[in-house]
Amino acid sequence: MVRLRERLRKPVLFLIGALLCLFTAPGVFSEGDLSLELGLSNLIMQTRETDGDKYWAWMPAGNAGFSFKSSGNKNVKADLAFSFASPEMDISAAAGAPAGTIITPLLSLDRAYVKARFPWFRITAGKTRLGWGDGFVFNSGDVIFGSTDTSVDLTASEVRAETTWLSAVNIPLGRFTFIEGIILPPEADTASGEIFGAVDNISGGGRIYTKAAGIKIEGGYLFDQRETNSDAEPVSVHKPYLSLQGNLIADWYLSSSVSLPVSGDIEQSAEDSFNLSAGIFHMVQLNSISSMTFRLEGLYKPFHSWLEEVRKSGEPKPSYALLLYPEISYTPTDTVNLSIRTIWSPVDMSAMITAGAGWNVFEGFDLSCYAVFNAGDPDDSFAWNRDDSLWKAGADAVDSMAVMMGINYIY
Amino acid sequence: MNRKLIFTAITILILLPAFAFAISGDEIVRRADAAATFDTAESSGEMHITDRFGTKISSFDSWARGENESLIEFTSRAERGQKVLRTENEIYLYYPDAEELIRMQGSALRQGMLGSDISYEDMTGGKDRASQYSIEITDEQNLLGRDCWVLTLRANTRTVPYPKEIVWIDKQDYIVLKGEYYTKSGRLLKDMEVLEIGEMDGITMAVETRISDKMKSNSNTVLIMKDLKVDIKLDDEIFSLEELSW
Repeated sequence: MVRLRERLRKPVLFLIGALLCLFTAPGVFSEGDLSLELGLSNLIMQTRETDGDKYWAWMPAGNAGFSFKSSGNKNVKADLAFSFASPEMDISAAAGAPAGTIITPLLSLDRAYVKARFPWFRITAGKTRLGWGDGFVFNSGDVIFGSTDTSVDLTASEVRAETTWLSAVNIPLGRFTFIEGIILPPEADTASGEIFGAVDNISGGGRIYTKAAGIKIEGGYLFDQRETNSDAEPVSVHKPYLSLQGNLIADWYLSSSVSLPVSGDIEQSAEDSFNLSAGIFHMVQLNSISSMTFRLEGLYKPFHSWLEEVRKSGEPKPSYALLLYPEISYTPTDTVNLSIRTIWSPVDMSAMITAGAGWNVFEGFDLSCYAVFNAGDPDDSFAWNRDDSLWKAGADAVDSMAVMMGINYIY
Repeated sequence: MNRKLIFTAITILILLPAFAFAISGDEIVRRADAAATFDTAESSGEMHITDRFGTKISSFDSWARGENESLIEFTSRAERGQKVLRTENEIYLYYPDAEELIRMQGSALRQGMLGSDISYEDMTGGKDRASQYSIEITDEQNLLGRDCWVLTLRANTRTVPYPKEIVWIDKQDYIVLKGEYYTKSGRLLKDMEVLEIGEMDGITMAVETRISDKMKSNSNTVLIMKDLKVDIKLDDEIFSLEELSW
């Protein structure tokens, strides 16, 4: 715990210093905009004690972030956003957790970037997100962050909001066409004694975004050196992708990508990594104020297993050929939303079902309530009662179900 | 007999100018739509959205070119930086925190903007109602001290948001001072009423308008125009993905 406090001291001091600078520099406000977002929630969930016994847990949690955006110069933008979550949890003592495992970090840097716009191009540098491809939960075109896993929070408005350090240049080639190049800094390889990332481990790529015959066409490529193989060794991979979006009665979108290693068994890697995500979205206006939206997404990995596998302790979760994400959302008035979101694994017939309600009560103030249910056998992708030998403290939090009630305020 | 003829001739002479200068319902609506449509416009304003829990204020800047191109940027704190680009058949949404461009078509255009009683179609849709409705003048009234025609519009196409409209159009400046918007079966969906008329950039126009969605109880949206510049030079780039995602 002492080690943790030491590690957090510097960022906390930095945050306090940054806040003091912002609050005591009136000139800054005249050129920028400061907004604060507070989220507080109470989570009741069925989980496990360190010895594996199940119990009902009550976990208050919260996050807060402030975001400073410059607005003085119309050709330069900057954004700085931190967040913290509470409580901090050291689960080193939990069963199956590596020593020193700490979940829910106290402080994290969400965004810190500067953008500048020149007559013919614009640049972005810092920690931010680039939305490549299309998809709400599954997006095979997102080769930067990888949006194909099931570790998502379906209670969030943006289920994929991860950011990373990057440098990018965006060149418009018309009103609905642009090209974009990106460089991702190398990661430190402390195992080989490199405290800082080596230059030759830089990742980078680009994409083109255009529209033809009413269809959005996006294609790109990333040379990614941040990947590791099954032995946790770094590997360099080529990641091409293609993403299309259009409308035929409903809005539809489709993305596909593959990871091809620079060296090694390319054919096997292509089979293992080829994936295709597709979705349809449609809104039905029930009357002038209420509407329903329907979304169905799928993630298809044709060379993965179509048969249910029996899991054993220590083995990773099996990767099945198909995952589906159906979502139905009902908006009875413009400020209230009810939804059911499900990640369904049809191969092992298990699902994570999230039923939620959100209400925008006042300006910037929202109330929300969600219930999450896991349905499936003990060794399935999602399980009502996770098999004792498969339960992983830290990785698994909710055993059967959880209920969350929260408030969120932006001001 | 002669007296009868003379009386008839005098009557015709008196009424002739009125017939000669009578204006049709189509022409009134065409002029009203023309008065509300500019080659280009740059504006800023606020939406005061009131329901039983109080009033939310959303501010915005907008740029429009013709009937089908517009860009709206929300400037109020809770939605700051969110932008909507409308082209003829599609909407692009931009959420700055997610750095995400979302393209939508079809029925998504009918969504209410930020919980208001105004849909994207209301805000940015084409205004060529004379070709989309059968129009008749049904009455004449006085609103806000201005004489106006009362017209009933019945849709002759299914692509319009409201099958029936009753509008009160100012005789002097062709401003729509009041409107009632109905379903095909005659149920009132929405009404609109101008609360204040003012002058901006040399144009007499509604600067404060209240819109009430009749499907919601105790709810209305007041649209306040803060600034308007019309027929100015707007670059093509304003209605582009580059500007949307900036």
